[in-house]
Amino acid sequence: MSGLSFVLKDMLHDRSRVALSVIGMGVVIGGYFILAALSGALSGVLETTSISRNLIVIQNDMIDPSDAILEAHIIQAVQELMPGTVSRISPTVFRHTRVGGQVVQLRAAALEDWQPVHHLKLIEGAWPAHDREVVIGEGLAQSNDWQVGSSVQIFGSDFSISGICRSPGIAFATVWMPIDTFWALFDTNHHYQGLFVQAALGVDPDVLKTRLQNDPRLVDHYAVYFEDNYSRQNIRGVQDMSSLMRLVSGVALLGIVFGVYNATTLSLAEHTRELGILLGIGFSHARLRGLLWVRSLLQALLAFGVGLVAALIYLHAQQSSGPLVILGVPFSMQFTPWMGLSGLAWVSGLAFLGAWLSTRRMFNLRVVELLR
Amino acid sequence: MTILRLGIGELLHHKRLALVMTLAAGIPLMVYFLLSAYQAGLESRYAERYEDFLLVQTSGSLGEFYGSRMLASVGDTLRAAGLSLVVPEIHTVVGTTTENAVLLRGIPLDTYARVEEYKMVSGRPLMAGDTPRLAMLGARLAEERQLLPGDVIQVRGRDFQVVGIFDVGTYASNEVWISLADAQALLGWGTDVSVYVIPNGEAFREGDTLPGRISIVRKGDSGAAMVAEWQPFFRLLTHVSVALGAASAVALGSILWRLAWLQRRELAILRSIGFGKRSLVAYLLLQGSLITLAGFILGAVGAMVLGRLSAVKAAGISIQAVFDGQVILASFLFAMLISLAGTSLPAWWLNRFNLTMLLRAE
Repeated sequence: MSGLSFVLKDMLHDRSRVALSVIGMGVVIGGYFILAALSGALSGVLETTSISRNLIVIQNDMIDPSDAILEAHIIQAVQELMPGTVSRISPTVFRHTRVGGQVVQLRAAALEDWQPVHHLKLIEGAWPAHDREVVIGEGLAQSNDWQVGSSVQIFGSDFSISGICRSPGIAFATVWMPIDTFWALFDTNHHYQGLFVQAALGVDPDVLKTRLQNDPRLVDHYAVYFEDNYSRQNIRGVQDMSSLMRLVSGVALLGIVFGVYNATTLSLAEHTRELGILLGIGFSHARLRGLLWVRSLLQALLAFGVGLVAALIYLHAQQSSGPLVILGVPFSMQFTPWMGLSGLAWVSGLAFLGAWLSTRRMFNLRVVELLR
Repeated sequence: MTILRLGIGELLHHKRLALVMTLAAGIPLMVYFLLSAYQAGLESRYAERYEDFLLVQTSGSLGEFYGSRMLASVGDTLRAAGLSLVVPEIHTVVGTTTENAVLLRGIPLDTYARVEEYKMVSGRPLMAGDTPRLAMLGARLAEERQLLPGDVIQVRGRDFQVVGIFDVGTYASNEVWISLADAQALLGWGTDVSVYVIPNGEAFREGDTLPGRISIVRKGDSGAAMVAEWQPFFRLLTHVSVALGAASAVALGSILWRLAWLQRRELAILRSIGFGKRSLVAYLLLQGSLITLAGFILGAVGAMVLGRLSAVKAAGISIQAVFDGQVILASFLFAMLISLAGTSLPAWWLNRFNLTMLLRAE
């Protein structure tokens, strides 16, 4: 306890230098948390699973679903499995389009399928009841500051937002439109593009998937995916960015080692006489080194607190302006307790490494030389 | 010169400290460098604005990548308006997974060269009168797939013989070009097309619309939209790298201040024999500049290694780090900013003290 109070008094005495070290390391730690939250948001989208276990049937060589065509005999093939094996189906169309200057995915399906098949949950407003009404995902609403009743231009026509919804699984910056509205707007010969299939109660979706995949009418030209696997495959590119962010955040944390090393080395250089006196009155080298380690750790913990608070403020400010939306996928950056705990472990470990590196030659110190 | 030698000598005396500070300065500089390189890669590949041509596409689409489809009758409308050139094209992404996805462009063999400047890297271009199932590959795609003229590329399960490899210097170097007729047959589009390229300054202007929710935009608009899509992401990373730079400046300032304090007696002697306040600033500036310059070199090397090892690729659209003169200059200026910010605080502090009085007191 006396050692700790000694260290605290020393830090208080050296407060301006300690403050500079803490600020420098705090910013590094804050940067680490922001990058970790970003990496978590990117990889979190890829790891998201939904409870629906919906299957989607789509042409097997189409990256962009809006280019696909769902032929009538495919719908027929799946309908034949109703109601015993398949409980519901929902033929759907997709369009990537720009709304409010942002690329969004426009989806259209029969309104009665939105809740039971697509599991949309209305969180504000109402489902479309009139022509020229759409429902939008909450991420899209937040990032554009759109409210129920706001007007948006889609494909050259003005639409009113009747409601804001939440969807399970991988969320896209999505605009949902009743299918009749879509046909009227796009006039695409009523070609559906994908078929959402819901397995009947008690039917294993994996078994249903295999059965559909082996259906001779589908086998060569159509693929059957779990809905989230399909979405995940289409945004695989963000994994590269997530890995890069993780790498950069790890490299940034090395700043802790450097910060602690510099602070401790300079303290040793500045306090040679004090060290000599302490050694002279009976402090052992090991005890002195221990005190320096405690000092370094305390500085790192203070910096951790500063960095954590700064990152939380920044993330809160980011969240209040809506999620990041890249290529139609909203990424919501969130700070998790796990991030905090792993960050604390890293900071403590790296601070210890920096302190050890700077004090490893301490046993060579001689009182006479220090007091000279 | 004496004071500069003293500055260098002091750094050499504390070489481990200087080395560690160099590493600490190298980290934000590497992040900034890498970020600027990715932004430059994105902008140089996608933000190409063509002044001479307009693009006719379905409203709200990214017609130069995917998502636009229109009837051939739109072309008749354009020709009826008296345009000197109407070039139909198909743009879409094909493949079975994002890993093997390719940007496909269907082009009319007689007119495509009039709206897109390209340079043949090897082989020959597609020409009017060519037989079906021939393709030209963008240089980046050819390099990625290791294909040469005479090889075969599969597009939607069909074999196409590569006749030539071209380079445009934009995202088009990731594309495979086939004849418009082949593309229409491949996609089952009949006579539909994705876009029409028309000359700027004739019957239509940017922002005009046509019946059937068709918009006229500047050629290159889709690329600009793609760049805009990534902006929030880069903005956030810029905030982080600037914050790391500020932290580095604080750390640099703290170290220079403390090193100067350790040298206060020598500096006081120099001041008392006639060296001015500017000499002290030069002393700190030299130390700060040397550390940041070494950090800049380390950061640049780190960023180039990371940039070479990583590329972001999604559905045929890739972003690669580009280390051009502008990126190097911007990163160098960022390094200088760190150096100046890190030096100014200890310089101000050191000049506040009357070092000779301090020397006498001690």
